[in-house]
Amino acid sequence: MNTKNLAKIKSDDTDLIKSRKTKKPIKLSKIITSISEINSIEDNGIKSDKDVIDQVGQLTRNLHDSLRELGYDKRLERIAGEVPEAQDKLAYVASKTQQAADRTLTATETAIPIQDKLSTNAIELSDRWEKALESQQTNLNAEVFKVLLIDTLSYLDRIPEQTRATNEQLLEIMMAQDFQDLTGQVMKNITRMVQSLEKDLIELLLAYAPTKKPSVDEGLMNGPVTNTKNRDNVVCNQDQVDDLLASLGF
Amino acid sequence: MPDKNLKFLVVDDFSTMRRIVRNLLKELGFVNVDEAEDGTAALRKLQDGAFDFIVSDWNMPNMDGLTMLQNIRANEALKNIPVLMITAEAKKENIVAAAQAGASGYIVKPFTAAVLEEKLNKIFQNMQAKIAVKA
Repeated sequence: MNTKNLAKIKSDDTDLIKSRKTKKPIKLSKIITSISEINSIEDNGIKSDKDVIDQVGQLTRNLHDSLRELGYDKRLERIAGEVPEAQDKLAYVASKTQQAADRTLTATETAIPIQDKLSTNAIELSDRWEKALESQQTNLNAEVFKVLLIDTLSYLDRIPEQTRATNEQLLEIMMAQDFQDLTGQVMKNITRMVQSLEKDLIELLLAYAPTKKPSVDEGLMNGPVTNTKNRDNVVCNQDQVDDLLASLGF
Repeated sequence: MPDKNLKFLVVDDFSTMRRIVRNLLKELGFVNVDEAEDGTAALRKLQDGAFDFIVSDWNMPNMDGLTMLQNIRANEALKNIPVLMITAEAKKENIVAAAQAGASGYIVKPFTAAVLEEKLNKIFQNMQAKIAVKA
């Protein structure tokens, strides 16, 4: 049994070297199987067999070399470092966008009452003028006009101050968009990293993974659809929602 | 015209979204608005206070919007409260499931103030029509 194993290992080994020479995908799975076979030999207590140890040494070297030759060692190392970094970057994006949303909402909530007040006061003054002009035809009351003039002037005087306050908030909304530049760059980095990660993982999978289709089980909580192309089970806008509901009789 | 004192409950796990919906409702004249961060919190608030209208997200921790809607429709005291879903879930299955569960309206994010107003008005009309039928 042992000799049979050894023979198998040898033939695998030559396969490996051959495949390396011909630049074919290296059968890492075979190496791993061989190693586990050797492990079982070791378990059987034939550790002292120098040949086996030599074989293990050689196989380990081969595995190490082939990983290095394909660049997997460095790439795996890089991936291991990049994933936590990407998490940090995404957290940064989340916090930046949250800040921007808060700043924008605060600015809007500050500006809307200013605008509302301007509008309400203008309507009120206009009403008073209309009434004063109407009553002027029956009995002229100079005092009413005097008060109105003073109120109107004071209203006009306060307008620049209020529009300045609104403008400040509009500027604040504009400045809150500065996140886009920063998060845009970060997202580009992450996209690049994920693409290279995907490529590396696919290569690794192709090198030694069983071909099995992952089952796609989409539930009802998928979040926003980021790409509606080639998907017939999603709606792209409110009109399509309305049409679907109408077609169902809702 | 709907009563401007209608009491709204806005359910969303993102405070930004709750704030936006609250502001839009205010813009439409509805100032009586409370908030809940998920279905569980919403149901708790619904038990305590007399709410007239619910605007809810779908995807939330603890209890999602659909489960909350099903709970509301199964509850004798709450079942007649209109529930408007505002969600990023855009699969046809989602829309059908929401409609079957008894959603009063369905808005996909991102949405506009005009869409919210239109859907609210449609729901108010339906409510009045129902009252008219009963009377």
